[in-house]
Amino acid sequence: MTKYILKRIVMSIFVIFLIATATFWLCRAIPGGPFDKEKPLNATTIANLNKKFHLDKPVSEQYVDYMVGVAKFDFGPSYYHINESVNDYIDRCFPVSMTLGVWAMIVATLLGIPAGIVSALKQNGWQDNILKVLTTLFVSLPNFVIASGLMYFLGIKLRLLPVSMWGTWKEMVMPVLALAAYPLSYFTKMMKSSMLEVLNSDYIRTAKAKGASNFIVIYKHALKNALLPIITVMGPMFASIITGSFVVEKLFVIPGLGQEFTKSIFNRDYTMIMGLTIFYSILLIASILIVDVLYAVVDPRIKLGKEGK
Amino acid sequence: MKKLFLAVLSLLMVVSLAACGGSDNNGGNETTGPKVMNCNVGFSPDTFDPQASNVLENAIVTNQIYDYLLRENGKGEFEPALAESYTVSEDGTVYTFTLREGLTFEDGSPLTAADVAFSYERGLDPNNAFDYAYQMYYIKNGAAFNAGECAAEDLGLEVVDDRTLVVTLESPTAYFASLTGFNTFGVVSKAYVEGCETYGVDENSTLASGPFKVAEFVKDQYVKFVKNENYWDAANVKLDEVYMYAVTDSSTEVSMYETDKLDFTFMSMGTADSMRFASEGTLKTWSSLNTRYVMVNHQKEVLQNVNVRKALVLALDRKALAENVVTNSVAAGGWIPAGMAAVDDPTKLFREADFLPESGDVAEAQRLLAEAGYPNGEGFPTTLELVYTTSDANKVLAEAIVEMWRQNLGITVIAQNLEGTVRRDRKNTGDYDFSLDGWSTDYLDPYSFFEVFETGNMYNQANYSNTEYDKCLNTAKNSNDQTVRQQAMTEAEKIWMEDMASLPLYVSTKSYLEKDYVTGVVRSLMGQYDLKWADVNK
Repeated sequence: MTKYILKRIVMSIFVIFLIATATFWLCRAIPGGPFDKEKPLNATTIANLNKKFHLDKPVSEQYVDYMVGVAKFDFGPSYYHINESVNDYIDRCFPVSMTLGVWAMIVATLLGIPAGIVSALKQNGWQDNILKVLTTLFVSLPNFVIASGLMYFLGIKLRLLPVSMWGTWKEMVMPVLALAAYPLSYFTKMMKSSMLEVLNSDYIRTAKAKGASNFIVIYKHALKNALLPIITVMGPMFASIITGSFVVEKLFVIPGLGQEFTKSIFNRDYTMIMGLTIFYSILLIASILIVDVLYAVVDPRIKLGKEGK
Repeated sequence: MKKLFLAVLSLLMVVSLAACGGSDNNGGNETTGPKVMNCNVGFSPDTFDPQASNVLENAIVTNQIYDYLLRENGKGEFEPALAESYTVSEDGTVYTFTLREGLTFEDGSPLTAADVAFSYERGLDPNNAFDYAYQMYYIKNGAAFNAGECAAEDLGLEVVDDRTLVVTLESPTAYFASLTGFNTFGVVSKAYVEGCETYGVDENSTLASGPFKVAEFVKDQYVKFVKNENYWDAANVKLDEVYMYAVTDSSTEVSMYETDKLDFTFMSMGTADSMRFASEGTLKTWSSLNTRYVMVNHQKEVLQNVNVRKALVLALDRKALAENVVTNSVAAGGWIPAGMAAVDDPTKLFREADFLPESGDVAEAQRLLAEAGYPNGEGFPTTLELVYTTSDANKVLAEAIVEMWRQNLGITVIAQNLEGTVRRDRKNTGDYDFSLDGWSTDYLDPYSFFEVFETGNMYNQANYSNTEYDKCLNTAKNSNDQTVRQQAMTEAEKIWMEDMASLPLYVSTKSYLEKDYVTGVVRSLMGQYDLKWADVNK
């Protein structure tokens, strides 16, 4: 197991190296640069800026400097945000996105899994029918619609919650719900189908035949196996949710990471694009690794590090 | 057992939902004490450093913190601020400013002419690499110093005594006094800046010289200002506190306004919202000096024919574009926006009569196109593109324009959306035919519009060139006589229109909401906001 994890970590470092390299060159391949403003800057100003950010050096030298920085987890200064480095930015915004994302995942998991089980046990009953409608609705509605809807009803009409800003628990409720809606519905649907499949399998029939109670059958025998597919999607989904959502953060004025993912590309903020991409890659790779390890914990049939068997 | 299990599950769900929904009302925190204003600038400032600030929204934030030699009062006039008076030499190149007595920064330290000179010098310092350094190129040797070709001592800045600053210019610049009211010229403290590792990062590294000081800064959320009691004109500052939010979504902004979290709105509203408030009669409008236009690339052979360019603009019903397609705007009658004042007489408009009929002239357009060799659009290339920056509003406008050209002239132009930077890149390299563009001013003089089409000017991506036009511009630039300048620029606009250097569309108007109890918010012709004289009377 330890050997397997070590091997995976070494591989991950190589993957991150490839991602960093690809991002570096791709950034420079898109037309335009960080100092292309709507009102063009004059040559002197651009020269001064290039000098300040060492963009006057040959690209190969910039690449080496950058990779050395990445190895030290130093992503350099932002070209767009005066006074802020990419590291400062991540330090400031990631905890916010993380808090929001963790809450959204907790809501999605705590509600989605039980709802999926109910749906499976009461297949085609009224509970299932209601959940079917709701989950289909929330899987297909984009989160800006959900966010605007919440804002309109809870914020403006009922005046129960503040419509924006970040900090108090009241300000967190709507963004968490808006962000949780999709994974919640997705988990419900997935849990339902996975549960149904497990409930129809032979070992469940055996357990029932041996006289085990419904509770034991569901909780002890079925649930654990039915969770496997959920765990598979949960890892990557967790990584993407804790790195923020462009729409939810913009609508609710939340100082998270999500907006900058998109804005940095429009601004050609090379260091920010690269820093965030690498940061996200690390989270994603780590979460996939954790998922793989969890498999072995949940399903005794899976043995890590012993391929082919 | 199964029922119990389900019951527990259902209960769990209900409880979680209730926990999410329930909360008490926290609205209506009315105060009778300090006067507080809540507003939004759609942007979280990257810096509180007036020289480093490089976008309008950031400049709106710094504008509240700093004062200038002259400050705009919202009527297009620059009134004495830190300077109580100034004199100009006969040849128009030497400005002598006299500062008010007893000026101080927020901490009570004295504000002297040396601080003003220092602020200008650091704005030009090549090591600082500030985007807006070019605003100070009017100062003698400003451009050379910024390019690293001479020392700071060579700049045309002379501190005579604590209250006297002499500024020598490269050449006579009739609007220089008003330029000192631009945010890049905000006055910072020499001693304080030199003592900071990085100036203007937050409330602990910023020192105000203007009406408000920074009290609290939460990046990407809000800036809290409080009144600067050490400001020379503090008696006229009515607000005690200002919260400036960084809401970037216009529907969120409207929601906050409707729930009384904002006293006025800043961003341009969605069509549905603006129609709703217009029908309620609460929508207010203001216009800064700007012209939206289609930039024409004069390097393209087919577009070099002046009759083609004239036909293209006359085929457009600009009134319909301004009022129905973009709404709340006014058809442009020429290149200079209608609100620009004459330079020789501020009570008169720069241009008395419009050049273009606001609804166009389709018959004349068709005649001109036929004269150019393309009767009914026959033989006109079908591969020309009108490029625009991706946005819903731009898309509708671009589609309307190409449709008017198709219907009225029988020509096909492709409306092509591009990401902003890609479009700018293609303009820089001349790889475009038509570009949906806009121009607004950085300083209150019509020259700021004319220079865009000067031969060799870096803004001239239309690649337009006319020696007569350049001659007029040269006169306007170097003369110190406003009557001469007015005549030269009137002539320049005539030439511009005869050549149809590009295709003017409309002057855009911003619509906003403002609570009845708000007074004195200055929205300037340059798009700047000033809360110095603002008040709330709840």
